[in-house]
Amino acid sequence: MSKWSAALGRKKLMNLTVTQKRDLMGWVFVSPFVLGFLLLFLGIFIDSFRFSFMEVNVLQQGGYSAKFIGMDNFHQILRVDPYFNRQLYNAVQNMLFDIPIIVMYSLFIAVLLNQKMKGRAVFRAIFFVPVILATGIIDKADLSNSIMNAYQSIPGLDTGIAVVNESAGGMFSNLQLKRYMFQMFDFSPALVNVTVGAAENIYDVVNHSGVQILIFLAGLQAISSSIYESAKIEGCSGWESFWKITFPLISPLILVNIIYSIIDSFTGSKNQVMDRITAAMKLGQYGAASAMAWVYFLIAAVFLIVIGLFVSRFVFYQNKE
Amino acid sequence: MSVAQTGTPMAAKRKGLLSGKLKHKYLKLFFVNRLFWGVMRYLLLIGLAFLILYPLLVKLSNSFMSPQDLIDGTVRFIPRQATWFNYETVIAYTSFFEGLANTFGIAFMSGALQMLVCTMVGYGLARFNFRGKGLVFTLVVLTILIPPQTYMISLYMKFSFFDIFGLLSAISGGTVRLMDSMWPMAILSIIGFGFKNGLYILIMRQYFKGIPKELEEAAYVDGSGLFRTFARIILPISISMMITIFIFSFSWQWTDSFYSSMFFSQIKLLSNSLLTGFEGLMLEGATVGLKNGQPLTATLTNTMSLLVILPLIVLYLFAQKYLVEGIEHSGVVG
Repeated sequence: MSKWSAALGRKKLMNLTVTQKRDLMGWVFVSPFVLGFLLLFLGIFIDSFRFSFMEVNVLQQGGYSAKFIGMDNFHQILRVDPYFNRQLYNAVQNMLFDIPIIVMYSLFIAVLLNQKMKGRAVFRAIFFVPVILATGIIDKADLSNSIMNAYQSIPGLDTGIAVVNESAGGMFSNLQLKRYMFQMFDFSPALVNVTVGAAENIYDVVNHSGVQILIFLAGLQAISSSIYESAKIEGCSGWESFWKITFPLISPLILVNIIYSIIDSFTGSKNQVMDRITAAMKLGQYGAASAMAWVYFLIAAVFLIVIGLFVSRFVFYQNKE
Repeated sequence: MSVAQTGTPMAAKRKGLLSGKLKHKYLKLFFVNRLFWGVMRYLLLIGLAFLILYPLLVKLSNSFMSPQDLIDGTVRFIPRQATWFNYETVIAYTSFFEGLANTFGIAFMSGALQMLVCTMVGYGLARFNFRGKGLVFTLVVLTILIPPQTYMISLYMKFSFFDIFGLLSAISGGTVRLMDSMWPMAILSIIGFGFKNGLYILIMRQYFKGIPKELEEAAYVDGSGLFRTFARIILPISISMMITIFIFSFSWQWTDSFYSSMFFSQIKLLSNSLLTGFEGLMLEGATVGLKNGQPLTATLTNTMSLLVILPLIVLYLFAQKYLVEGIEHSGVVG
């Protein structure tokens, strides 16, 4: 029986064309990933899902015990825990607030860095510095660092007063700015808050858009310059050619960057929920931590899908394959 | 005389012509417009570049300040009594060089492994039309989307009680604890599940899609095998892209706190010492340890983070050419 099937398999293999045989070798190239997924990660994903319905205890002599307790973990974190809901809400709010600003900023900078000018290489090198430096632990250490906070608040720069435990000064100046904007321009409060918030977060925005600038820049390089030339001959201004050529052609990458920024914001270091999950894990509450992680992932996934679907309706694809 | 007489009006005429030309060139709205936008562009770029470099400069000046300078209100950017005190304290307290060696080892290993594996997987996804390719690609995208924190707990469990299908426990009678060794990072890198590896695979795939197929076809016609073609033709031309991936993974591993604090709680790593901070450090002659929020504590943290990123800056200065080049040639477009 097995001989027969082996023979059949060989015959099948011999019937394939050379290209088809070569294509089968593709499995060899992707095998590290596929094997790793099947041997290690499939189990890890399933385990993590199971743990969220269990009470997990690590035993002294090695190994762990797990007891099925149904939805108790979820009930605990969503209904009993006073902070978790609030933290979730904050994470989502921060994300919704940051994404448009980061994406607009990085597109703007990428367009600027794509133009011909003196010192372009130097500027590019500087703007990619955050990709390398403003990640992970450095970001985290700066967040809680009183000196960095004092130096980064804008009034500290103007007045030249060295204040270490400040931030009261920063508050005051922003209040002034807000009042000024209310009085002078009659802005709506929401708009004022968004604008002032954006100005406050300028360090965050600059430091978290390195990868996005890289992606946009790569996309801008890929647009052939002959399109712009012909548009120019037809009498198209720079403004028009941005909105009629650059913007549609770059729109797939806007989707990519929005998705990347959402993930970055949900898993970033200034995110309280992530800290919360890590803390719960360190306390040994593996079941509750798993439940939190899955609730969080589900919310992130829902936002990703909704925003992704919404944005992808406006995306223009030049060559549909 | 007459020559001079006739010469002057000629020169004047020429001058007039020249200035007219100049006027024609420089007083046009077009030129003014371009000048205005050029100046605006430089102002904006220089301002934002300053914003990026500013924290680094602050850290640099802060790290040389003595404790007296820190409480002196008139000292802002230039320390009055410059000192190496902060550096010495940090290096002694965190046993910096041991941490540097460990961090370098782990970051270099995972950078090199991830670079090779992601290049391979990316090539496989870009060039071959095997069955199930769509499924593998979807899985790669999913690994980008799912934050590692979701499966952090079971990952931790897996490597604490490591076992392959019960084989190991059958042989040695118990699971293996892989924590505090190179193995968790090595295994994760080899299977392409390390930090942001899905992104690297995606970048490599897009890059290989942009390379003309004719290169490989010519090699096949000349009788070169699949793997030889990959090693001799594909790898050499994609070297700048691979270096880009290496820079990403090296520096993100270097500053990573997620995997470091999970896998290497007992091994001295730079990121872990920075995460711990300097709270409770007893200085010479002091009766109480440093408190969080004190200027000196923050200064020491700044000095430490400067020391942590210094090797990365050196790496970046040497490699940024490849980074920009690699990204330019990648064409990450959808």
